[in-house]
Amino acid sequence: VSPLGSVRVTVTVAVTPADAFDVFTTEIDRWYRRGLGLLTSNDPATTLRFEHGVGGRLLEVGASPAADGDRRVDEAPVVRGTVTVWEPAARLVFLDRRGTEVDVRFEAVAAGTKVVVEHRGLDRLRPDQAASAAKYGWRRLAEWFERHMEERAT
Amino acid sequence: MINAIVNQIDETFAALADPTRRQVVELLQREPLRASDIADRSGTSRAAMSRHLGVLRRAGLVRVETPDDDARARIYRLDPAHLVALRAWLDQVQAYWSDQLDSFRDHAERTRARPAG
Repeated sequence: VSPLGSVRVTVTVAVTPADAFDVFTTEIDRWYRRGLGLLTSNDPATTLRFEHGVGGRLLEVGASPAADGDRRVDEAPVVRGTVTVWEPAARLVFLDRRGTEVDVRFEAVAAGTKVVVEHRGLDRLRPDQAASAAKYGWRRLAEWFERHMEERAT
Repeated sequence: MINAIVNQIDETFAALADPTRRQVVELLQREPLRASDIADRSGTSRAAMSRHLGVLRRAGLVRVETPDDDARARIYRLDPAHLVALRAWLDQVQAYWSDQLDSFRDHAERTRARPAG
């Protein structure tokens, strides 16, 4: 694994590893912040879900309001990732649509669960992907990042 | 400013899109090297390596110098300033995940918090 293109982020959560894994996967739509691009579209009006188990897919389902109010019309889901490791309460690995790899570990600690996300292969985009910042959501991410740093500075 | 960053990231990634060139950058992270040493250590022919070094040089990722004691030698050195774009991109991805994991923690603790003790 190239150290050039990976990032690692850790958070400690006051729940059990089994709950942390369950929330991360089954409830991804409830916590995953939309509109930042990267793994999903920038459209906040979609739903996300993991199919359980190795070979399962991370699906983004577009939902647009139907004419009659609350009911929504489901469109064909878009595959955003494919699960390569599925170990409940321990580890989740999935490949995104461009072949970068997200490795999530759930480790029991006194305070609950340490969740470690390692996103690898960020330097391995094909030239056509690298040549299109918009495709990878870089532009939006850059704008968001700038705001994020400004907010942090104030 | 954003356009400049995005363009530079594009250029850096295009240069790094090749596994041999990534390997060269990793070798040069440890020490400056002659072109021939880089070719030998990466198991690449000198002609092919010369082309890869040209791409890296044009992208500004490496600099080439001639040592005082040997006018024919070419020493390649990483130009860390130009890895800044890559670093900036990785910093963005890192901040992105920090944000996502904060949101994950808030949701998990709101819905699944363990009873005290």
